[in-house]
Amino acid sequence: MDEIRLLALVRRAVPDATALAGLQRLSGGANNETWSLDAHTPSGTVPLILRRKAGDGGGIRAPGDPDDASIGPEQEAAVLSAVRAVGVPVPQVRAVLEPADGLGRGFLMARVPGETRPKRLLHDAAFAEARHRALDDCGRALVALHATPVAVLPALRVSSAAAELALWERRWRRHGGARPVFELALRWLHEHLPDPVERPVPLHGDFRTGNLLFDARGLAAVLDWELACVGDPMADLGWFCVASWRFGALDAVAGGFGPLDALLDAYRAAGGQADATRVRYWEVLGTFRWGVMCLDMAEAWRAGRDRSVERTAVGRRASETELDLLRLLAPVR
Amino acid sequence: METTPGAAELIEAAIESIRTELLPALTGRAAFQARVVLTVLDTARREVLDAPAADAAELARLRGLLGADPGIGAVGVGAAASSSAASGSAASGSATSGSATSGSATSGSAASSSAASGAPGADAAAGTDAAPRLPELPTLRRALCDAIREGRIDLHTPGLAAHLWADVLARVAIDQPTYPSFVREAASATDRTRD
Repeated sequence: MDEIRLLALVRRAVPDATALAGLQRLSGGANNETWSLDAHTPSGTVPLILRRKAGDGGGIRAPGDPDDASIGPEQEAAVLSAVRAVGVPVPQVRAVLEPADGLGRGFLMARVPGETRPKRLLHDAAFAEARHRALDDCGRALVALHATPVAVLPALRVSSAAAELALWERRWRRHGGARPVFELALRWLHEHLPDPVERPVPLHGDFRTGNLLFDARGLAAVLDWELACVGDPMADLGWFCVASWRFGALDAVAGGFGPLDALLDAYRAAGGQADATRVRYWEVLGTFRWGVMCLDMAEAWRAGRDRSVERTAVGRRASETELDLLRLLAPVR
Repeated sequence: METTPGAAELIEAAIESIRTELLPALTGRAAFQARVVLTVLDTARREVLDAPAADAAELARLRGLLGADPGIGAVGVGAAASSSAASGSAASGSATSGSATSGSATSGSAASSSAASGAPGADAAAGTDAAPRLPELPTLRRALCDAIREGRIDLHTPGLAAHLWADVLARVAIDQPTYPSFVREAASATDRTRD
């Protein structure tokens, strides 16, 4: 990271910044780097986050992959600003990188204090109050997002259950694997395909524990909007319920925080219309999707796009989704 | 007596060295990376030790399951015709195999000794002739996938759910034995075996 260029960028957002401190890369997304830094000014310190595309074409998807559903960082910054204006808790965008900045593609945003690490959120005593409020807060944030007119956002991919199913089935076929449980899940998903929603709404696209930042009092920010799209609002709720995001709180279906009914009640209390059957559909589709994503990560390693050993470890997590699909579709009585 | 370290022992030595010699000297991102390396090596070690028995048990169950499927035809499910009794024992044996596999994940020495005792599929569930026939496994696994995809086999088919459960539990026992869904389901599978 070129710190002279970085300081020049920071000065666009914080004109009286005199120096940078505490620059460190945070572990995180596969397609984006996240850097934490502080800008010193005569009147105090401004905590910031730089989110930028992984360099050198690194990332899970091959360059130019037509099935890459992620939006670019410029668009992500625009989405953040738009949903912040309607009351969704997200960090304030401070500057968007331009080619002349010489730092790649990305944006600078406020660093919101809090915790994203799931095991701490779900198990530490310090977050007991936050856990208690989590589903109410998530319900409110989701309803605020889903009630946002599509027109106020940048143009986003329009999705549907049929399109998502086709996309993830295609990705799975491309791997050429033989996993009977995935075939069973695909049959179920085709047979139970819900009707398209009458009015597709803005979606986060990756709303799950791990992408939610909490402070001691509750939800402080919804992060990682690179998969934002437009579609069935229940898709965000179903993905939140995928078992892989419960991190040891297995029976707390809603993100490890509580039962599904508590999430649906919170969503309704905030003015949304919840449909448990659709949420379940999206949970099954989401579980399959995560399984294919695990295989995608192994493939990124094999193809040389990302040689980090972590990708191979995640690749072996595909079998956890087979187990969770069996628990959903063929529970042992 | 053979004294050269085998693959599982080499991996075990690497794990021990990283854990006791390297990791204590590392901090920050390097320490995180080392822990990921340990995760990967643990999985590789469990695969070396436990996959042969899991494969053999899967093959035995697949022969039973697919023997009656007309779509398989030329695939040559060798013993399929005579396997209705065999498949019954394979199915019950596989439940035992599943719990034995998960047990070995926590009890390394027991697993090593069973692997050291020789043949993949020394486990009773595998059947004595399983090892030489394992090339069939990918073919039969693919045949099951096709049968499910085409709707010829579904959850109403006797034995399918039991096969998938036994198979997935054996695989996750290798891939990720601390995964909460696995811990829960492996425990209840053991309880059912005990009942």
